[in-house]
Amino acid sequence: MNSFVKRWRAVLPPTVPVNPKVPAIDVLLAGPNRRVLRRTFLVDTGADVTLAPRRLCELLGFDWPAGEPMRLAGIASRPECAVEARLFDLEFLIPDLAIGITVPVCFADGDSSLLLGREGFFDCFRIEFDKSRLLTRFELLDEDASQHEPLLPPSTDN
Amino acid sequence: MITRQVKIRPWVPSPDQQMLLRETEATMQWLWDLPDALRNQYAGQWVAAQDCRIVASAPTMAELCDRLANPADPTIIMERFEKGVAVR
Repeated sequence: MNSFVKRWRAVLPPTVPVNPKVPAIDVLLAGPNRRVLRRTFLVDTGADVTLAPRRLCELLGFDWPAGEPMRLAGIASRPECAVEARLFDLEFLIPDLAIGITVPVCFADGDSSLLLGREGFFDCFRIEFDKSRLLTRFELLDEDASQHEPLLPPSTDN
Repeated sequence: MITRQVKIRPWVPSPDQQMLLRETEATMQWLWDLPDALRNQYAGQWVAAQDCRIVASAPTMAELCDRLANPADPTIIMERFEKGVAVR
């Protein structure tokens, strides 16, 4: 098995004039202190890199100031809107395929959503978004890496 | 920026990791389909959930962690619910 399908996740309030569900994936994060945390990331093709807040970095046991410095810019081009960040390699454990992937993650100094960006993760998967059915299909490109049965039951909307 | 060598490896979960997956599965699914009323109530907030209930909420993850006795408890799942339509 080298692919899995995820239902989209409701993250927006019901009052917005758009569909409240977005592409997402739940993973386990394994930090240097061997602590494992389960989190949901929004799958964001517009994000250059995976993004998370500094506090998560610290919960996982990284020393935030020791990371590779980066400055993040959003859609606002004003310099004062840029955010300091630190880059670390973080292991994402994917229960649906029983694999681990090391992904570069930018931890922003402040708050941010958990966004799964293109760098790293998107190199490993062919990802298909189906908004008509609110599903995302992830196909692993390196089939040899996935040799185990999935650890979670497949999405009920497959 | 960096395109780093991506490392992929088979993962055999430890007994603790298997237990964590089992213990958090129901709460994870509950959060993914959180009822409209709760999504409205927590719009723009981070929430901490455990055993299919919200145990704390705050505007930022840092503030949420400050409100929890043990924010590193792996059976607690933290999620952010967006306030409105976002363009990133």
